[in-house]
Amino acid sequence: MRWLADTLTVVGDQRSEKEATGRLSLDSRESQSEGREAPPQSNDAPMHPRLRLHQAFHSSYLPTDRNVIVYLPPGYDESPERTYPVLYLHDGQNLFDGRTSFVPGRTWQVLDHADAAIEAGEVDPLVIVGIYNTGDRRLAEYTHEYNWQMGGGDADSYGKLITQELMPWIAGQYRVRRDRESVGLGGSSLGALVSLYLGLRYPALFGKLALLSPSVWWNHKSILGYLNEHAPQVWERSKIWLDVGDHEGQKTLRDVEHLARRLKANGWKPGETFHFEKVDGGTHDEASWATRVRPMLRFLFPGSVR
Amino acid sequence: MTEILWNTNSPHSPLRDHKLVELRLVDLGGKEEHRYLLREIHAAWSASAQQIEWKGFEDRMYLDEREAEQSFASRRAFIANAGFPFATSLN
Repeated sequence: MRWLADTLTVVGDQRSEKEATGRLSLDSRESQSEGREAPPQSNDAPMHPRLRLHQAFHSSYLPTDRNVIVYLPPGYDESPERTYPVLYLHDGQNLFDGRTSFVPGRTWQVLDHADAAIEAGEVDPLVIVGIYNTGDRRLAEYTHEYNWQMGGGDADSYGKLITQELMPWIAGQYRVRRDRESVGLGGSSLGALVSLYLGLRYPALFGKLALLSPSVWWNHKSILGYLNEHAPQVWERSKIWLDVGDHEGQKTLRDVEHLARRLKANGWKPGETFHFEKVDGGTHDEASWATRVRPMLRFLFPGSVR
Repeated sequence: MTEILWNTNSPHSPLRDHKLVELRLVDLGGKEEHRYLLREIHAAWSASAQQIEWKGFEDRMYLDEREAEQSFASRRAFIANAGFPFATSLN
């Protein structure tokens, strides 16, 4: 993590955080994405003051520590009594900073879009937690079933990290609400797949799901069967944003349309608990996902001024 | 099929002065005629932004899969020979 620590503002003192939580390791490590090291950065630009980077979050369920980056909405520090809804997003290194993203310079631009939507009153001020992926282990952690050709299948452990370790830790560090209506989970591609899986697995914890270009294809589209099997057991439907770009390839498009039909068949109501967006010209990358952040937030966390 | 080509053999070096080209081949399908999209996007280091910035893109559309794949391979080879020797596959 040398280049990151040199460049970005790191929140708090690592030693005191470790003592306080028992989870943050003093040993930081290089961030990796999909097996390639994250790009080095220049030493010039500091991180935005409302982004807080926590290095090397440790889990007892998974072998690799990971960074966590937290977005605080405008006015957070000025309103110390206020509590906020919270959205957990996967692939945290791709959300805010083009110097840490897998493809350099290409991010979801979450800070810009969330700020704009909140300041326009379209979206409730919220905290957004970006969970970095761990490079080579990304595929394993973001998939719910083992595939004999590609491996994977560690999503249950990743879910325990989120629900049993990270969420309580975040609640101890930041003023976030914990009722299901105030907690969302989301991601893109395999990150969307694992969001849907965990949303169905923990319906009492996540009341909102952001599924951008989900990798429905994983292990012969087994998530569709999992949905059919588990949806009837879910007492209350999570609010789901689902999208796909029409330039992501016809197989991806068909798969996601299939998922949309399955959600409707399982009781999700368009316009109420479910929104499906087919993005004109949308592609399978961070630049395209960036254009979907604002409407996704508007649907899942609507503000009082529309 | 997506590849990013870098103007360096050491992508782990600082990003300053780096240039990148992304080549993407997408099967768009189509009800009446099957279409294949070849998209090329360029990026370069921006001193003012202190990071890599991606510019606009250029699209070519094909009706034949083989022709689209050949065009992808041909364009990839041209870019690599033009000083972009390192490639990252996003697939």
